[in-house]
Amino acid sequence: MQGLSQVNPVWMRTFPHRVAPMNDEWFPGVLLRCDEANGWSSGTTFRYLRQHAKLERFGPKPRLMIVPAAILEALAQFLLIPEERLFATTYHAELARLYGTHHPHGRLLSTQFTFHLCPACVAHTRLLKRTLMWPHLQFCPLHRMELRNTCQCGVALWPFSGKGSPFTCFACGLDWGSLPQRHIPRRSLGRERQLGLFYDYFLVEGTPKRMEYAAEILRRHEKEESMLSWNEHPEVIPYRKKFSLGYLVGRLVQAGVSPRDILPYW
Amino acid sequence: MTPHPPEHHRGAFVVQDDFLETAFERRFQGLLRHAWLNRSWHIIAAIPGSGKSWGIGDLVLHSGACKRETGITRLPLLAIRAPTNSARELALGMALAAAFGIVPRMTGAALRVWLVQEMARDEVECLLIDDAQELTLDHLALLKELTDNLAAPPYQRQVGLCLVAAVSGTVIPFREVLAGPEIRWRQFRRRMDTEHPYHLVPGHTEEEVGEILTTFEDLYRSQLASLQLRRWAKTIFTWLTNPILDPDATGRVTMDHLSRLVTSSLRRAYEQGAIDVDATTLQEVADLMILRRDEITYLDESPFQEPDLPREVS
Repeated sequence: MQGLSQVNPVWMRTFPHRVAPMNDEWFPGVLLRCDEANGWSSGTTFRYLRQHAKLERFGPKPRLMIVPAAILEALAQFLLIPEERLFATTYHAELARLYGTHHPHGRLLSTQFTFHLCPACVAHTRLLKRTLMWPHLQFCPLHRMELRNTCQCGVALWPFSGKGSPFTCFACGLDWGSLPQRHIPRRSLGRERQLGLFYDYFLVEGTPKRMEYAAEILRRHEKEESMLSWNEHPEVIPYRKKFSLGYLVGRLVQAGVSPRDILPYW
Repeated sequence: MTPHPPEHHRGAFVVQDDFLETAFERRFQGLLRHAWLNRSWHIIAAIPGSGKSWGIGDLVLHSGACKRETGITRLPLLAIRAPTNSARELALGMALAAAFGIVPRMTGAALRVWLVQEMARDEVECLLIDDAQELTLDHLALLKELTDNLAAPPYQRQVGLCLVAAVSGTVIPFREVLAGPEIRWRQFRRRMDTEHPYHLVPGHTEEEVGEILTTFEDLYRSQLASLQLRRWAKTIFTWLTNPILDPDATGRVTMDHLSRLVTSSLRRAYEQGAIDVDATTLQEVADLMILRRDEITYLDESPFQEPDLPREVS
């Protein structure tokens, strides 16, 4: 539904200003745009959703790669948009398929998380892209700009600052869109492209079997390169153990494995 | 009562409760539109049951308010009912905020700032407050503060204001307070319309009652094929201006009384299988409304008949 008329009783059950997810938008980005559209401080929508869904168990810095259904359901209702559109702002479906589980954990994307953003994306469309949350990525593929994780004042960036305005540094108030923009150096282009190809492959077509196959290719590749036996190799990817996608992709790129090499033969 | 062959499949009587643009509504909505168009301030009063809330509701529905997915919301007419749960100004602030939709809880100071920003962002042009007789002076002070902040830079938005009150007689609420010497109320009074700050909107004349009865004929003809209501206009007007129903001796008829009389009479006629309503049925309902209006009904048995259920034989 595009426009909600005041005739509709749902008017009173929606936020004053409705926003809808943009293409490839990350869930916290939708929340921040909702805060901004409604004139609320950063994180107000998220706090309200947590209270409404009676879900206060998030840590102080939730990653929100996976979002509880109750929160998605509530936000879909308050914005009057289909829940599927909000679901697509998370990595729930992709990680569920990749790891063969109905209830994936956000740590399956990466055990370590750094929030970073493209100042040009924020300046142009207030967009926090979901794909920019891929581990090891350093540049925005669209603008070819360096991703920023700290403000000019030295403070680490975080989506929800509490009392400040959305999309600003909570310490100095600088708009994230005004952060310095540095172009990608030529030498980094190849690495970034490789990372993008691997993530695309795993997140779009990945299955547990394909992931295990890629890990096996990596093991063999590292063994051949190092000329060491399995037992002697210091960082061999263990068998029958879950590791995050970010870890695998990082190791594949580091080892110089090509995306073509991990395509299954079957 | 006009006889009618028995119908075996006649469904339940359907009450037509759509908004009717009666003479009262034309007068009342005309004032609201004037305030909206000219951003003028008025206190508008009418006796209870005139149709004030219906008129406000209808105007709001056609005001073009819209929430778009793009984050743009338009609310040209911000209409609320005066809070009755608290005399504090925050109660009015919360009622105003609720008109925009779901708003997370915030402090009183934050709410005041947010309301001004939101009214500017949504391009509010006129504030309508129904049941304004319930407002307190604290509420009025908040209205003045909000509209003053909206009129000042950076927003510089003038908004109309209509305080719509239910009254008895000709006493208009807040008139005396606003005529007082206190600076705040003198400022408030100065913002009110120069020519017509206070309005008392009367109910319907006999001729206007006739017009409404004609409309009712059209509305109910599908259920009562030979319905002729207008011929009873004078009688109905006389009944409904009885001192019991018109204690302020306005000599006018309210829409509430008129629609109750007509609906109840038509329902009775319909249930008796008639295709028109007769004087006896109208008289019975008028008696109920005038002479037996406070009568108590003793209910000794369940009003709903339970179906005969098969009993188990022990």
